[in-house]
This record gives sequence, structure tokens and C-alpha cells, in this order.
Amino acid sequence: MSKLLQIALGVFTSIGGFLEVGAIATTAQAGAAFGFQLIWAVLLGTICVTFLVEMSGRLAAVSRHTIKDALRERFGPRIYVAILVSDLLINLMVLAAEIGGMSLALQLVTGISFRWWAIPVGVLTWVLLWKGSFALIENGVSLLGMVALVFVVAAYKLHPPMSQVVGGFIPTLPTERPYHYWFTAVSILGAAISPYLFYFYSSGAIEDEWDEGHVGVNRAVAAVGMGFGGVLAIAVLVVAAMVLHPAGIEPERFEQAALLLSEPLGRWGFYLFAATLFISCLGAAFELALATSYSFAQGFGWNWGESVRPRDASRFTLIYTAMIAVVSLLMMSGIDPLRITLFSMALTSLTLPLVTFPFLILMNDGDYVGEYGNGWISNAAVVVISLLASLLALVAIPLQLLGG
Amino acid sequence: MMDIGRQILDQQLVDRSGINIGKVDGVLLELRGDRPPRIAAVLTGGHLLARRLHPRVESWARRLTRRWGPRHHEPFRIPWSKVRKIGIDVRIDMGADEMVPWEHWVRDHIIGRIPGA
Amino acid sequence: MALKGAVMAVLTACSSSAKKIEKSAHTVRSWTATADATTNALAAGSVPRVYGVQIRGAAEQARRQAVAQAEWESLPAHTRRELEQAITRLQFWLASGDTTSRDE
Repeated sequence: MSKLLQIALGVFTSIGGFLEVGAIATTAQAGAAFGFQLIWAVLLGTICVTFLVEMSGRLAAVSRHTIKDALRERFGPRIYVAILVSDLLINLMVLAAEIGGMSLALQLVTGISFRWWAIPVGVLTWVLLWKGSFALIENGVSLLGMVALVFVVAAYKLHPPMSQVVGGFIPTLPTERPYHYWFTAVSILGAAISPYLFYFYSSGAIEDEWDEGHVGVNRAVAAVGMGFGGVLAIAVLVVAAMVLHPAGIEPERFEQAALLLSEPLGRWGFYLFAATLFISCLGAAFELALATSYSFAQGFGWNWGESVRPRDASRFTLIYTAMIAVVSLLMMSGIDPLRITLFSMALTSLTLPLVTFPFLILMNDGDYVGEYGNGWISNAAVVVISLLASLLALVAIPLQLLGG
Repeated sequence: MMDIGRQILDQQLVDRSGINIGKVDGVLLELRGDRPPRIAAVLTGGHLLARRLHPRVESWARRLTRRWGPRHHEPFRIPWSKVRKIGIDVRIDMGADEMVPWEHWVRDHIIGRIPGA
Repeated sequence: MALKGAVMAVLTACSSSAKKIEKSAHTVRSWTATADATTNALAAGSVPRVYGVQIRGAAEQARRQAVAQAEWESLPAHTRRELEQAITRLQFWLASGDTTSRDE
């Protein structure tokens, strides 16, 4: 039974790590601009992140180390600090996007500008982290996150042409607006393959005290959790393809995306859109804040743990406190949430090999994973997809900035 | 025989009650003439990590911590005799309390002051 | 040789501004569609009034940004007109409550 509850870790990681403001924004844009054509990007991202999540769980279960802990040990402080700094910068940006997402959800419903919600949202996130235990946050978000299923319901109700949906799983070249196409593909990959997601997962596995016996259930959790996220993301894309694409609406502002669910589902759809946005961004904010705290604590050897009292892990707590404070103040200045979302997703794609390659070295190092090392499929899938994401980003980002 | 780089350096240090102290930032070797050197102590804290990154980082860290933070600036020396086990982490037969000045400083000056800590 | 270079330069400049015009037209049409979809959604009751106000504001801001661009003058007249009309319809709906002015 408790192993079934472990699925909660997978689903939670998925709600916050997979389906959050980045995934919603990028898949909505993809569906609106290109119909069903970019489903393959979501599929590719889901496959890659499933492998990465499974690996991070396996590493934790077998070596009793988290990724960050093992990275410092294996590669030394210089490489570690380089990874830490780039990690921190991207996490700050993505956290800003998530705070923005939550603030926007509240703006949609109340009409009060998202700028005024940034600080209250930050305070709420912080209080829940401060007072809550890991299990509470994990299970709470998993449960509430089920509201995201509304996208699957909407996609079903809209009766998309199945031949076109299936066709979208096969990568195709764009017939028009190639720059925008590839940039959108890159942002989808960056939204799906978020490093903070699997860093968080490995720490979560240690918090939940996994051991070698969990290797099998880890595989199931990774597959179910990320598969769930992938299905949700595809559902968003399908709804956008059915609702926004025919109308010629391409969201330039997040507010336009609210029409996604109000069309097929009426007033309920509108509020459930806001709820899904809010809860998934809250889950993501938790993961980002904790992942960053874990990064520092595990790299420098501090006491850490979400279930530990703040005063017993003061430096760990200080990191997420400072992070949330800085980001909330930043978002109060009125930075466009959609823009920072898309930019941070593209940047994630660009730097993916820097994250995955050291990780892969660990996963093939007998000292850490013993006989549970990576098979060639895991290695190949991650290498190919992260290189692809990075190369595409290298080309697509400048083009988008210049011409897009 | 021990591969210091692989088995000790940068490993997690844990005290006798399971509390994290820090990482092994350095190792003190005792040179014994013709015989192979022996580990005298493991080192943690101070500005050792900063120095390993770059000497300039160390001087920058020293300048920053001169004004605020705990007064203690030298690395802690843990005698090899106190090392109990090396495996997933390095366990030592000492209490953490004296060896985590920054943790205490942050607790007393920042986190501990917030209600509910 | 120099003439060929000059011709290429002019052609490139023209085509990239043609692209800019197309992009601007695309954005304008997207906002027209948004405003119309919102008006319809308001009439159908599938979005609250407070949302209509947000879209009205966002569409108006997008229109002002488009007008400030160099491409505005090159856009087809009906494209520009349709955006303005869509915003007006939305405006009217919000001002008058239940009665719509969809019959224009």
C-alpha cells in the first residue's frame, strides 16, 4: 500500500515539474499556431524526462546519494559550483514565471492586476513550505492537481480528428513560419525536461527513505508520473488546436489562454483553468524552491530536509526563503509572465547537455550505481534528446529574437 | 590503501547523532619519510572550499566574512582517530555542535527569529 | 558587381519588412479574434465580466502598440478596421450589460 502511495511522489513531481506555467504556455502556443503538428515535441520531451526521472530515483535508491550530493563528490567543487550557479540562475527565472502564473490565475478571477498578487502568492508558498511537511506538500499537490484532468475532459468533448492527432506524433517539417515552429518546439522541450524536476525527485526519494528494494517501483512511478504529465500537456495542445487555432488566436498574453476551457466547458471551464494554473504553478514553485535549497545544502554538506524543523536546517531554509522573497519582489515590478516563461524554457533547453552529461557519467559509474547502471537505451535516449534540444535552441533562439 | 580523492574528499561528514556537519573540504597528511604518508585529520569549513575554487575567491570570501557572520574562520580539524566509518558518508565520533558555526549563526540571527521555526 | 550587391541588399530589406508587415497583421488579427471570442463568451455567460474587462484592456494595449509601429500604415485597411470594431463591440457589451451589438 505504501508503495502505491509512492506513486504520489511521481504524480506530484509531475504536476509541479511537468505541467506548470511553462508546459501550459508552450503547448497552448503550439496548438494555437500549428494545430496538432507539434505533438511529437511533447512526446520527445516526455520520453526524455521519464528516463531522467527514473535514473534520479535509481541513483538515490541504490547509492543513497542525491544527484547533487554525488555530483560534488564525483566531480569536485569547481565543476559543482559551476553547475550550482547556472542552476540557480535558471531556477530563479522559472520560479519568477511560476509566481507570475499563480498571480495571473488570481488576476483572471478577481480582475486585480497580477502585480499585486506576487507578494501574497510568495508569502503563501513560503508559509506552506515553512509549516508543511514533505508528505503533506507532496500528497496535497497530487490530490489538488487532479483538477488538471479538466484538460483531458475538454479535449475529449471537442472531438478532435484522431487521424490528425495521431499524425502529430510523427515529427514533421513546418509548412510556414519555420522560426516560430522550431522556437516553440525548443520551448516545449525545455518545459518538459526541467532539471529541477529530477533533482527534486532524487531528494524526494531520499526524504521518503528509498532503498534498493524501491528500484522496481521507481520505474513504475517515473513512467506513471511523467506519462500522466505528458498526457495532460498533449491535452492542452489538443484543446488549443481545436479552440484557438481555427479562430486564429495566438496567445501573446496569458489572459488569452483562459479561452481554452471556457469555450468547451463554459463558466466552469474558466474557473477550472484558473485553478489548474494556480495549483500546478504552486507545485512547481515548491519544487523549484526546494530543489535550489537541496542544491546548496547537498553540495556544501548542510543539514537538509523539508520535514526537518526550520531551525534545525537553518541554511537550507534560508535559501528558499531568500529565493522566494527576491522573486516575488521582482514580479511585483510587472515583468510579463508569458515572456519570462518562454525565455526560461528556451534557456533550459540550451543548457540541457551541461546538466545531463555529468548525470549520465554518474549513472554509468559502478561506484554509485553498482550493478544498477544504465542500459544503452537510457544513455542513448538522453544523449540524443538533450543534444537535439540544445542544438535546436542554439539555432532557434537567435532567429526568434531577430526575426520571430 | 585509500584513494583519498575518490573515497574521502568531498564526502558528506556526519556526526555521532546523524547530523550533517559539512563536506570533507580537505585532508591533512602526515609525511613519514620513507613510509607512505598517513592521514592525520580531515578538514572542513573555514575558507577551504573557497581556496579550492580559486585563491581570489578565498580572499573575497575572507573580506566578506570579516564584517559579519560567525567569528570563526579557520577550518575544523577532525583527527583521523575519530573517523568511525567511510562508506556512503564519513561518520565521526564527535558532536556537531561546535563545528557548524554558520548554521548556528543563521539560526540565531535570521531563521530562529521568524515565528514557528 | 556593385549593382548586383545593391539590388540584393534592397531585396533583402524589402522582404524582411514584408515579413514584419505579415507578422504585425497576424498579431492584429489574433487580437481581433480574441476580442470577438470574448464578446461571444460574455454573451454566452461562459466567462465572467471581470475577464471581459481584462481582455478589453489587453486588446486596447495591443492596438496602441500596433499603431505605434511603422507597419501599421502598410496593413490592409480592413484588418485595421476589424480590430477597432472588435474592441468597440466588446467595449459596448461591457458598458451596456446584457444587450449586445452583434448586429452590425
